[in-house]
Amino acid sequence: MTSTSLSTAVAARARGLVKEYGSGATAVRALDGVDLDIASGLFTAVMGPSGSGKSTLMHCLAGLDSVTSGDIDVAGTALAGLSDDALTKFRRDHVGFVFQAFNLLPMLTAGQNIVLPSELAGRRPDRARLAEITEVLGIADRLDHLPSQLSGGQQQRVAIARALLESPDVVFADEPTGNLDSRTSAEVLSFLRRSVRELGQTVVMVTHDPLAATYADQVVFLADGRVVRTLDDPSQDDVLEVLRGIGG
Amino acid sequence: MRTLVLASVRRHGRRYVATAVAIVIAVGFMVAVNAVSAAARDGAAELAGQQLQGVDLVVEYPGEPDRILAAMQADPDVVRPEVVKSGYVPIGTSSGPSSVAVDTVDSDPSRVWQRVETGRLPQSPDEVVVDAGRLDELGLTLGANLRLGEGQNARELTVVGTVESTGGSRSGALYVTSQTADLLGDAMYPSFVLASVRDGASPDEVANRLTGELDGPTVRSASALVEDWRLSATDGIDVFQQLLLGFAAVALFVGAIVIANTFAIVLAQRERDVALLRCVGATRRQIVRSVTAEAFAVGLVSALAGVVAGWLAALGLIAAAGRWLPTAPMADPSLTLLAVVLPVVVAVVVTVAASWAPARRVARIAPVAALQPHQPAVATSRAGLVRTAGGVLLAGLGGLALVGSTSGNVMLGLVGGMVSFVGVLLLLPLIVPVALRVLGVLVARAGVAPRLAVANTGRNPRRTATTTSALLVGVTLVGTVLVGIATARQAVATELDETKPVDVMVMSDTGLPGSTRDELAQIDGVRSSVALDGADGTVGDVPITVLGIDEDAAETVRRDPAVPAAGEVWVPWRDDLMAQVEDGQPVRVTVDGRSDELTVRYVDGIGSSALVSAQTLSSLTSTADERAVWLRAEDGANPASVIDAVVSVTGDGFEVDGGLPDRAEALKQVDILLAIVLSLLGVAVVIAVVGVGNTLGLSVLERARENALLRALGLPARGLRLTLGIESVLMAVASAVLGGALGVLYGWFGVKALGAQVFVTEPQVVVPIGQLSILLAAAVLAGLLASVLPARRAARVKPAEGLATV
Repeated sequence: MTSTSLSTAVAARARGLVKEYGSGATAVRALDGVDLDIASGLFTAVMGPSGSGKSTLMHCLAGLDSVTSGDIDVAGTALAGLSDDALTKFRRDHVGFVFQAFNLLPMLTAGQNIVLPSELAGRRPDRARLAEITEVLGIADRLDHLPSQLSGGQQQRVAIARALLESPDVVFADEPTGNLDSRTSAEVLSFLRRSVRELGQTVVMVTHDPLAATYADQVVFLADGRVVRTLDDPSQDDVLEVLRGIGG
Repeated sequence: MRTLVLASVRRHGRRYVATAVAIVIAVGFMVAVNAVSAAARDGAAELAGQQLQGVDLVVEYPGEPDRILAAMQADPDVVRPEVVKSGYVPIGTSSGPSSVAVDTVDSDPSRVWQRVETGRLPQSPDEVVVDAGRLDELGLTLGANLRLGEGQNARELTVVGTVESTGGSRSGALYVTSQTADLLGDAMYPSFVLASVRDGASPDEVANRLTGELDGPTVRSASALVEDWRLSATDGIDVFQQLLLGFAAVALFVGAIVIANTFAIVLAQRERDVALLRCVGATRRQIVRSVTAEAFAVGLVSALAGVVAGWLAALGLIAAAGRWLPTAPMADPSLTLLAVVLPVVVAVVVTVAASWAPARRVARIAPVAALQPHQPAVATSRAGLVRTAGGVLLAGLGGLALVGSTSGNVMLGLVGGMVSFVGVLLLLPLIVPVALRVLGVLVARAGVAPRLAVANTGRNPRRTATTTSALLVGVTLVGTVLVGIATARQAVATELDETKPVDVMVMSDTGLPGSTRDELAQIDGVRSSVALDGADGTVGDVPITVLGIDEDAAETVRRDPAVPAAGEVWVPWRDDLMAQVEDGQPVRVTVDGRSDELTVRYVDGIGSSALVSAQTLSSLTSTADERAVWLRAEDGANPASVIDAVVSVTGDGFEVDGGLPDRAEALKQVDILLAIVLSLLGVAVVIAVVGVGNTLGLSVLERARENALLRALGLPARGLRLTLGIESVLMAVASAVLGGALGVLYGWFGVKALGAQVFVTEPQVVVPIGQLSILLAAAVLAGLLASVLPARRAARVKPAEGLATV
């Protein structure tokens, strides 16, 4: 495993990020002043106990949710204050997603799911790249199947193919192994890491699984809406130790 | 269990909005019909009493009024006997019908039942009052003059007042004094002999005594006749009420489909809740019972709201009737207990029954389902074998019955229609997906949103089919009605072509100036015109203007381009002619001293002159001059304005006649009938459209996750709205196309089965392409409208929120 440093180019940057839900007495502060740089070309994991704000952080970084205050800059686009349509355009031009479940549209085939973002953006999908990615992910022969005809691991690989097809600036993965058994999890994580190493992708993964985090180049720890620690090239023990320290 | 039901209704209340709307509309419809019918019945009873106020004895349609009058005058118990007349009298106004109903204002002030609105009642023989509601139609105003009657009995009358508009047995458009009625001659006939009885005498006894004395005419007490009138009016209203309740039943049927679909979707969304209930110990029976209790609660609350809505609608309708339908007597609305309870009970029963099958289905869920991760179902429900077989069987049997009905068996046709339609409804889960796939191929190329919409319509065929079927019921009936009425309209038009072949006929006994024809031809709304030569002559002994016409002229202005053959003379149905010669007999026609033996044909619609072929006329005389101009109006021309313009060109001294006003009136009646039937069916269609919106709305809740995913992947909010709009339009168009096709088919069979019974000649089935296209366009619009609220709700959700909901 090669050593990396934070001096690498930055794919996403957050400064003073605050996100509140509700208002007045019932307001909940999910993010409480997050400053964060996501290095380009690296695999970053975001960890933290339940309610630490890790999913909220990812939603804000990916332009899925608006922030209460603070600045976000992803792939050269400042997200604060963008309209819904502008955010939509930002998402389809710059980011890819892999979610924990409900990753695929049930009425579309695997192949249709993979090319959907390109079509939404009005672009012709790159057939050669599609063939290459689906070959690497081992789903080339499953493209005509509906999601309900695929196993959980296959569904996640279809989702990864979809996220990688357009070579987005950042791929966000939200608990991508949450519904998978350990062997399939290892497979999916390896694919994500290969996409970083071999295809030069930037991947940000939210996970609560210490083993999953060891696939990352860098781990960011969140607690109570703040970044409390970052680790480079972590081992499982390192991760567990930090988590114990912050009550995860 | 009760806690659970109440909690469910509270929590899922919003999902029952469509159910509630369907029930409120259907119950409101029924309650409004009942309340308005009651008002009409009471109004008819009041009017019957009003029209015989101050009267104790009545003889209807007296054959020998003088003998009856003499007998009454001789009876010491009878006071103030009087013969009153009424009739249908030709009227010389510039617009409106050529004849109107004329009735009498009684000379006995206590019996005057008309209620003056403006001016006063007629007091002298040259005065007349007009029914206030007919004023505009007849083109009259207070102080205006009009010519009433024909020939030497014609009277010039001045309008001195208007009276409250009414219907009933003694209503007319005009009311004159009894002297005027006598002066109008044969046009007025004795309609009643009215009398009162001395104080203390019993009208029934006197009536019986007089009936015995007269030995022929029946003298009745006024109260007995009022009761008769009330009954015949209310019988009519009862029939009408049942007809309207038939439409309400259609609305309720459509409502039942919407309700069943709502429960099916809502319960499918609650599968995990139900499984959890089963985990903690609920039996299947308890699940079914709790769902039906929920349906009962929703049904009862909505039905009661429907009663209120129906009552308010009735008040509005009665106010509207008072304004626009003054001849329909309306009292205040009222409701019997049954008129309220029955719709409520029916609606509650329908709601509970509609929830039954979905409840049983959801109760079958295994408890373990609660523990498994939720996967949205895709294309799992298919039409069952039993359902398919039943559908094919019913559609086939019904189809055979329909084919059999074309011989003229209406009952067989009705049963066949219903049976085959139930069969089609059963087969819809098979037919609709195919139809949607075909439509889908057409639109899917247009982009991602249409493609997603097509995929969404295909993911739950049963649900889509049910939603579509609710709309299909309404659309099919609309299609049937459109075909039926278009055919009837055509048949009426064809008949009018024969009986009223010429729109406007301007005639003069002395010849028309050459400029007149040109001026008439210039009138707006006149399509073509011809001038006819003619001369004074006699047919038999009867002096008459004889006109000549050739085939070209007939082709130009007559709607039925027939002309008299050589050796024929066409004459109008005039009493003086009919007394001399029968149809088909030879008669001597003399013009200019020359005469010829011609065969008489009595025909409609040639005015007051005789008509021969142009050759016949020229063989009789060489001094013929222009005596008549015949005009043909453009289709859709305003008859009143055309006739006004004609009269202003010709001035006095010309006879203006023709079929245009009657033709326009007859076709207007058909159009009004169409409008009424369509608006009644519209109630069912509105419920179905609410159902489409409902299915979409509930699907949106179900698809919160994947809609959020689509948004995350770059589908703009607009795109999401578009997707739902297209999905909705696809369902609506599928219903419109299938329903329109079925409607045309049923309409065709209906016309064939009714055939000669209703129409004079075997009618040509007319498929109104224009109206059917409007139907399709309306379906697209309704689909878009139905999607507005669900689409807004779906697009409002932020991607992050949507992803958080499981």
